[in-house]
Amino acid sequence: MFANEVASLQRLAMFRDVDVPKLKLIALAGQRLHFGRGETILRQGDRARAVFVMMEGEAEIMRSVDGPPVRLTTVGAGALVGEMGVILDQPYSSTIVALGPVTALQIDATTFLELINQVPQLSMALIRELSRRLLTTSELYAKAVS
Amino acid sequence: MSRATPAQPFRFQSKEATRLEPNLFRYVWRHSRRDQLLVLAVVLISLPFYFASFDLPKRIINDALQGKAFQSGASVIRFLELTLPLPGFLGGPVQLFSGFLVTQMQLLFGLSFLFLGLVIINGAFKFYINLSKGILGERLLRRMRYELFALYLRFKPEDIRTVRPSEAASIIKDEVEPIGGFTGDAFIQPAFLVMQALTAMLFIMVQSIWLGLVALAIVVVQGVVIPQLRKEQLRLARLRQIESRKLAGRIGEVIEIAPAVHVGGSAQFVRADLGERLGTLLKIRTDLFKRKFAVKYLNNFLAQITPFFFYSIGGYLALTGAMNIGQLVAVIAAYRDLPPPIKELIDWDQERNDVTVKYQQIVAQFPAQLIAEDGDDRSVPPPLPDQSIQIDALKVVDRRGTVVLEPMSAVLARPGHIALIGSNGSGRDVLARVLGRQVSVFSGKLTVGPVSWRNLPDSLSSRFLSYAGPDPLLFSGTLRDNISAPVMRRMPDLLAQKPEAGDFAEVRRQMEALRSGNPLALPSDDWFDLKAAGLNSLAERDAKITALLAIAGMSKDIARFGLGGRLDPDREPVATARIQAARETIRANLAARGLQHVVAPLDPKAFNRNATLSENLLFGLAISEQFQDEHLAANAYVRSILEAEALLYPLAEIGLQMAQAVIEIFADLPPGHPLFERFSFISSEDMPKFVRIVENVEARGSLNKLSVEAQSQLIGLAFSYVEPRHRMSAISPHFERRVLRARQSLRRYLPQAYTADIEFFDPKRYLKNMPIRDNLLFGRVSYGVARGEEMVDEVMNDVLRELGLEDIVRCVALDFDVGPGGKLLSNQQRASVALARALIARPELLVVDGALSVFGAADAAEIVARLRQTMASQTLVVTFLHEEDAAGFDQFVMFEGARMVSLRKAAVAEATEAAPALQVETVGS
Repeated sequence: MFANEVASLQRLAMFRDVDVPKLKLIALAGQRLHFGRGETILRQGDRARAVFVMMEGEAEIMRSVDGPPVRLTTVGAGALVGEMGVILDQPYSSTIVALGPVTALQIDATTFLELINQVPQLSMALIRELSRRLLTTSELYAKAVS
Repeated sequence: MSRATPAQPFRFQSKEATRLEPNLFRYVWRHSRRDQLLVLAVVLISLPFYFASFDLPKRIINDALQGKAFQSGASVIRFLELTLPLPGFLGGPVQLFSGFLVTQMQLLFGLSFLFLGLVIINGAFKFYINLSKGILGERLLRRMRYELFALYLRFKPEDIRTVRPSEAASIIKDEVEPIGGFTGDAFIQPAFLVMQALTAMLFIMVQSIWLGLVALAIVVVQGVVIPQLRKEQLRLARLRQIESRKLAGRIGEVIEIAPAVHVGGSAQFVRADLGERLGTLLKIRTDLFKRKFAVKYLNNFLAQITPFFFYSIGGYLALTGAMNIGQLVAVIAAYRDLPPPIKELIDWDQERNDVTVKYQQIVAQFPAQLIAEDGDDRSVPPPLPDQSIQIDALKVVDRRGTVVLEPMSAVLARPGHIALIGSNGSGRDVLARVLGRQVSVFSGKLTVGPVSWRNLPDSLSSRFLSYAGPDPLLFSGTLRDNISAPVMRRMPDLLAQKPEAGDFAEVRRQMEALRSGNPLALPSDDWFDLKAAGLNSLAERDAKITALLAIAGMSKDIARFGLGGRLDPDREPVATARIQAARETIRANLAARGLQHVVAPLDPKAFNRNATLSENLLFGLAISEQFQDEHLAANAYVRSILEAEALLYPLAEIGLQMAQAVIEIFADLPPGHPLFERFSFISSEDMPKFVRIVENVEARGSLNKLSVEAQSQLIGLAFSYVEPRHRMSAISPHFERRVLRARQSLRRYLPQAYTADIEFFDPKRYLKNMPIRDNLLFGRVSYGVARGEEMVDEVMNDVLRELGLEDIVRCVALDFDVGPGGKLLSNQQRASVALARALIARPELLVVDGALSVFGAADAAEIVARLRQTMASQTLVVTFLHEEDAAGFDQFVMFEGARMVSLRKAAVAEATEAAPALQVETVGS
């Protein structure tokens, strides 16, 4: 049961150390969605109602600041998106659009927060992931400044 | 406040009691003297008949049997002769009726029938007296319960919170019961019994003064000694009442916190506490029994010793000729009727003591200081819309003497939006509660125009302000009932409801209500105050409530409740026919928007991968228990169909995989864990059973060796399987074909006995047991389509609006029963309902005190924005943790602990960074 989802979640760095039963719980709590090319997975400014775990396909992240959207990066299978908006209870800070057929696991905000609250392994994994991103951003900032 | 209306005329309505009469007898006399006097009069009228029934046996024995009336040798005498015994100077006796001439035999039968007639008449008197007493008691009980309930409602807000609901219920329901029973007896019973006893005593005295004196002596001993002995009995009874009330309170308290008891693991301690209380009650009861039966023994002894004297002394007098046998028999017969009234008098006296104490204890629960004074609304003019709230040296001290709001003075401009900012539990919350009239004990001044918070009558305050606090208080009933509550205050026009001629039941109901001091109006009358809610007709009510719920952040839930509700086509044929007709429009709309793939229709000839396996098999809804998923495979008929299509094994295999997955996923989460409750498809009660089955299969290596029962349980689990939801790749095209064949066989050969157990899906019918949503869609929203549900909902809502079906769905949504205390709603939904309720009466001042704390920051901000829009020309007071959450408010009142540290207006706020010292207009002294 949920073999595909578990395999995708295991590819995600933040979930690498999480037990299989817990990954199955995430899969059980989520919904597998399919997006066609050009379909919006989440939109900047919308209420953050869910996080998405990319399972198949690629999507681009775009952000607009007082102007047309700028392409920031591309994400593929194994990426977790939308989590910052959910954690901060703020609108999504960027738009993510499918570059081709995309399959993603959607976990609604309440469930995601509940999982983080109730399963210490998951909250630890999330802290690790956010710390890693902070480190990367700091390094990029340091490079840019120097 | 300009729309504040004068108090509605309230005809036939008694003024609510502001205190309970401390003396029970005065209370009873005040409210029932007319009835008491009437029954007493009947008691008096009954006495001659009662006396005559004593005298008659003597005449039967002496005159009819022993023939004393015929001793003069006459063969006939006059029977039933009536003579008025006037004295000689008035002309002597006057014969009113000459009677009949009868022989000795005729006299015997005449007297016997007369005796029978008296028995019937005395019985009828007793019947009337008992009935009148019973009704009288119940009427007073009704009055007392109503007054107690009304008094509880008048408790000051801070005091009513300390009342344990179960104790209040115990007082109103149980403790007044014996008092009510006694009130019927309060005056009539002693009067009746004393008269009965005196009659019997007088009769005995007339027959023999000596025997009379003996009986009197015994009665005096009974009347003096027994009540003395019963004093201890009373003390114990009182103790028992107090302990019982405490027990009821404790039980209620524990039930309320039962989940915390489970989680905290303190169940054993709680059980021990209850055991100790029950033990105390047993001990009191045992002591009570000992005393009670000892007194009873003595009482019986005294009652039985009198006949001993009668037989010995009376017998002696009869043998010596001082008394005739007829007299002795009559004395003994009369004495038979003496102890019961004496005993009952003693019982009455004990009951009097008992209920007086009970009554006093109840009165003690309602001391005057707990009852809020209701000002006279005629003397208080309503505040004008632009009159500011003036706070002058306002200080609040809690029950323990801690200052929870230090003296503060401020002017809050109206209309305006005022943010109270501070930490939880600070003066912020206290001021909000004072403004919302949740705290009534404070010093200093709080006024708006000429109106002080202190003498604001309920009728005016309910029109002027409303309060939404952190604990939404909902009652069992529909959403509509809960939200409409503040405007259910239009007093029904009782004169317009005069009972129709011949409607005796209604006349009687109204008479009884009047006699018990209860309201004449019924809850089913029209109480909704359209003007207060700003409506023109009742037809607008549901739309208004829905709009208020949308402001309070519940619009999606309302749509869900409505679409998830059910309608009975037999009772709502037009509405259901219109919904059924909307199916085609929805399908067309979905197609027009390119969304046809989002809904998988329920097609009799196709397998629906987005429906459960049981839905696919039955192609209908199980109505009876035996066709529910968990019992389906145990049904012999269904089993035979599954067997014929070789579906038993594959279904059991799906069930096994599902069970294995649940056991694996939730292995280290305890039953009852929120995630388990939310996502497990096996209930915590069934979990051990499935663990055993899975262990069994794994040990034996095969499903075939399982018992039929275990297999049925696995199949039951499999029936809830939905391929795109559970994603086990368990449904092959071949499997689908077999299920479809089984579906056809099941319906074709369905025994007559089962036809009412399944409601089959039928595209041409409205299904009674199917939610409105499913009846509209007649299909399942496909899993895997991003925003599928949302897009389908949009289409459905558009179609409902287009076809004018919104009202029907809205009505169903508002019929949703919230459960006791709103338990069937989530925390957010409860808070939304409380907010909508606070808005419905269009208050001039709305205080939102922590009511938004259950919402996330974004939702809370959206609700505040909508509230501000709704209250644009009124005054809104909201509590916030951080100042930045209150952007756009007109005034900011900041608290640190119990102290107000700053008060500033928005215009000044922009300059705060430059000149913080100038921000403070008024600071608490």
